[in-house]
Amino acid sequence: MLALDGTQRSDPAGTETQRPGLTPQHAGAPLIEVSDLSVRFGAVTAVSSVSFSVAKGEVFGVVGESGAGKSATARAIIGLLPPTAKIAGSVRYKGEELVGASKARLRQARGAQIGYVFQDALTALDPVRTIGAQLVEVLNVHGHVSRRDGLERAADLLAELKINDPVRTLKAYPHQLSGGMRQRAVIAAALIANPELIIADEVTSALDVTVQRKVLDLLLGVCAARGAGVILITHDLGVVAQTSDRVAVLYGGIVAEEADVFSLFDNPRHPYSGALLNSMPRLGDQGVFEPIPGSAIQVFGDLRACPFADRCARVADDCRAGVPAPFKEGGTTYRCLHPLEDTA
Amino acid sequence: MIAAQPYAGRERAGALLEVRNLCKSFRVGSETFTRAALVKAVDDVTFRIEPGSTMGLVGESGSGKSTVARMITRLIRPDSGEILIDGQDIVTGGAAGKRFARLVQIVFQDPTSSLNPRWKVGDLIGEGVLVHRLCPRSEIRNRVVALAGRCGLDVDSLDRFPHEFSGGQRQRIAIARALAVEPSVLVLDEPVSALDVSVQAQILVLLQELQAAFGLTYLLIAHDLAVVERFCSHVAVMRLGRIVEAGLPRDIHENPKDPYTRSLVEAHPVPDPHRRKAMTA
Repeated sequence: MLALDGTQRSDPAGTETQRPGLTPQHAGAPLIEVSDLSVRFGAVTAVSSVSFSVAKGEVFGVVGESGAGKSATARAIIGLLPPTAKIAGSVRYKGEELVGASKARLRQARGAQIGYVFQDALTALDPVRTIGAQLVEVLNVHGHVSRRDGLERAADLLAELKINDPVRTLKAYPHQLSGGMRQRAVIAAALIANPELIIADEVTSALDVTVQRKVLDLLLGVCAARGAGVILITHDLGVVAQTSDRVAVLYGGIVAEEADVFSLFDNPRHPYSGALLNSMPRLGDQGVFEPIPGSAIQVFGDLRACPFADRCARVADDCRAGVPAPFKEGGTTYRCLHPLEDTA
Repeated sequence: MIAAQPYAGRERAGALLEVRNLCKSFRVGSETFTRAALVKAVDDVTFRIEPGSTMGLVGESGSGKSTVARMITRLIRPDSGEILIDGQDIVTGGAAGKRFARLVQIVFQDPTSSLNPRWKVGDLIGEGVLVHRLCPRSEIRNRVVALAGRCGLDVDSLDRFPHEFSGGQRQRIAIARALAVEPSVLVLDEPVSALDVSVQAQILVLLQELQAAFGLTYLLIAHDLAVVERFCSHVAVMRLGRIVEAGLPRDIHENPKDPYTRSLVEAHPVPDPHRRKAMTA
């Protein structure tokens, strides 16, 4: 069990009330529990009351278009947002509140408890230091290890990530590696301190399709072997279908729909999920292919209507009267007043 | 109808694009300290695209796809080989070649960097018309308005700047700009990969409509096999500068012969959790 560091989240806006139902039961409790999380950058609302939880060993997919709030959610979890961001709501890691936690506590949590794999390996790595030095550094932040022990652990991890010559890779600088190798080094940096939760933010979007698949499999394979939970952020529904256990579909900063992966693809309930599935061509299938009109929304101020209303084929007057409350049906939770028919 | 106006009176409806034995090498490394190495970016590439049809060009990064695109659009000069539009060589054809070169236009992947941020959208679309003197100055505005409408842009967008638009709208601007000079071949270099999923489909459908309306010939560079299968009548797979496999998209996807093509098909993330592939690692 982790000790609380005692800093309670200050809540100047008073937006959060105590919900007795959310006291964590530690046996079988989720690894991370995000509830009513909102993120604002000045006038722009990036995330509005997002809630979900991820258990140990689970791969939780977060899909959405740019501006849907995927990365803002992920970064809010781990305290990586700039100080100008206003965060409300709660993020509990094994019952411990992380929103408003001290900088020292967050720094300790990053890497040791929650690993973050960045999208762009070239900017995530320091160009003037070797891969080995950067991996050992992570270990040193979380407790003293000798250089030799650190490098040994780093080499083992690189071998686990199927890097052929780990010792040579440790001595290499980022620019000497290929894109796929670099991304593996970034994954290694996120994994080396043995975190129980991994946040992977569009980790493979910049890579070639064939490399993409391999890197994703390696990341998820290592996480599965350790029983770690994974939050997999992507814009690619194909990646989600291939990897995730449960999925949250984000749109305009809200979770439009959350479901297990089979329910989402077989029986989408939110019109946005359905439209998104119909708007991608599928290999070996010349069936439905229908674009969604309009473009992704950016939310200013408080969200006062369903963010998808302007692009939705099922829109009605009540959609604009307020943000629909989450509605739970079977294993699916959706925020829509006029959902697609239940075909299950 | 305004839609077809820019092409009214033009008989040109799609051209035959032929590429024969195209080669291009680049020098890598400086010659100051080391001997520069020669990398064959494109190595003896030959294909032909029938008028009004679409060929997909697939391959990993560095395989030479974009180099082919740049040679066809005369942005770089091939070392050897021929590029023929309706039988006319546009590389060595002299003045006639230059005239024919206008018939090939390109839409780049990233509409943020391919549109001059200091120009208004109307000027961006009309620039080529002006340069090629395709109509009297006084008529340019009308042509631009008609073409913008055809590409899904309103009239008032013409007086705004590119940064005021979303990615999808910017790609519409880039397409209108390419079409303004009445090309018959359009090279589409990853035209939707920088766009949001929900917008990708819009652009693909628009390109399909424009092809039907103007009989355009497309060379579509893409990495998404599903997109290629849906939109192309033929596909060629490139690796290390060569075409390693070519044929009908369906055959390539169902029965890939080249090892690289096979790994491409295997790696394709199928958006169906019931068809989950075994882990490769």
